[in-house]
Amino acid sequence: MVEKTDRSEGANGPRSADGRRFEVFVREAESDPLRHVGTVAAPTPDAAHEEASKLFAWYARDVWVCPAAEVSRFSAGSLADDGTEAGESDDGDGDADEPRVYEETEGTPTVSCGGAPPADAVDADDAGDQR
Amino acid sequence: MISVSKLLCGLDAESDGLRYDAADGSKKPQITEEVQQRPVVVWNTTKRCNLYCEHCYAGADEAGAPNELSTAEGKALVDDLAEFGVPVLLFSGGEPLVREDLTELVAYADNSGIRPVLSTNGTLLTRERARELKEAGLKYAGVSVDGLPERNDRIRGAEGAFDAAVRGIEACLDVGLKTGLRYTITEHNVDDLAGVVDLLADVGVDRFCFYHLDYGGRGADISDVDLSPEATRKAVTDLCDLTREYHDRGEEIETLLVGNYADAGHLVEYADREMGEDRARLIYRYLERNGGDPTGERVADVDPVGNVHLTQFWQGYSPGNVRDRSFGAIWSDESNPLLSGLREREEHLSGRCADCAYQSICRGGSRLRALSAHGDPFAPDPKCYLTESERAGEEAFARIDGPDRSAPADD
Repeated sequence: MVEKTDRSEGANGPRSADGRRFEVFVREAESDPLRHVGTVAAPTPDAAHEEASKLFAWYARDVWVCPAAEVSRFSAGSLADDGTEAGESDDGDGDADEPRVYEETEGTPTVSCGGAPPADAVDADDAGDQR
Repeated sequence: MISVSKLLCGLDAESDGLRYDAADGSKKPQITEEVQQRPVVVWNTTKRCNLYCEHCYAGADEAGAPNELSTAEGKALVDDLAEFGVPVLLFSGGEPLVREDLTELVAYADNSGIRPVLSTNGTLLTRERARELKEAGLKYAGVSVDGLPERNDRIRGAEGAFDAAVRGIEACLDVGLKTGLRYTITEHNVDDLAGVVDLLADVGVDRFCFYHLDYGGRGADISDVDLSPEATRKAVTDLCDLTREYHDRGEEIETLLVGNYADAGHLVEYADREMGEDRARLIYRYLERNGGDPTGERVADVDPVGNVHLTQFWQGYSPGNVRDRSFGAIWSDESNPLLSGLREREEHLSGRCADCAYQSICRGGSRLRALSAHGDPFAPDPKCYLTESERAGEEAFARIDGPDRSAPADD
């Protein structure tokens, strides 16, 4: 007998560092299933559709957007099981000016990596500024 | 990222193995061919910052973001990246030094076989903190300075920020932590560029990294003060001249350009004009291996709440979140039409990029600026400053593009 997958909602919680985000789904042809293609930052569904259209207009017949904060995610995996629900961050108490406290716990990778497309080279130590 | 000093002056920089797989003959440590297959990852460890810079792509502020990755999640992310073969993890922010667990995360990355480097405003870098980070395994600290003192402080939103950053740089140098300057060029500070290099070279800085403005976060809000294509061309030419002047005097500063691959074509043209056809051909060969704009390929970003981005500047779109599936699974998912489109962008680039002679060393430049300017990620980069005849291959390209190109003379 196959054991049922045990999923939890550990990955729920705010998903945006820069305002509201929307999950985006696209469909290329009428007979295709909707495909999840990521999220866009936008203040409203219309603005999210507009942003998604810029990225996928050359591809998609249908574009659906859904507020990322209103999605309940159930998964058998989680980034790290530290005994704390991911949504229960210490910033979640509304007192975001207080310094965060990070618990020291053992990280546990939960998902194996697939192959990656080859990249010719990589950028180096100064890859990330303008901040 | 283009090393101007390497290409024009032959400087043998430690990290050239990352940017150019042809670090032939280098006696300095090179990262192996295998890990070069994967992107450098920028991790915005927090959105919190003690400064408020006008061009911040992360839109950082004092408050930070809710639900930022915890220490445990951060370590799991490092495991995930290590398993995928990511060679370099750039701890960024916000200001990463406001995270109390930064040293612990740096040590964890180092122990996992990933090269940990830091992007900081430098103002919180004391000698003690710098030593602690170095002992944890940090290999490099890039400190942001955007002008001479008064100008820098205005751009960075805090009086005394310049002096504090210089103290941070000195703290790194004191403890033997390699450090370099980062400078985002706009109309506001282009006139200070040479002065900052002179001033900080005297302090002991020997690596200067110049960023073209990209239109993400608050950077998009100040696109009206971005340099015009003509002014950009002049600034890059001046930087080439400055680099060569330093080297001619025996001062081997390292200068780099980030964020506008029109620079690649321009460097070929500059070398052809100033240094001769053989040098131009050699530079072209290096840049061809470098691969042009790295969006969605050789650089990736993970934001404070786990969203993966195609570059650190392009935070408005994410193909997935590491809380849902591994970075490797997200990055490898070519069922995502944008990700796969960017990786075969030669088939999608439009306008003047479509038939540009320098397409293979530029690959269209910034896809975010194209999106911002034209609403199309495959439209031309508005910051391209190559002339029409250069793009048509009628200048240097006409001389270097021949049977010799694949086997240039060594210098």
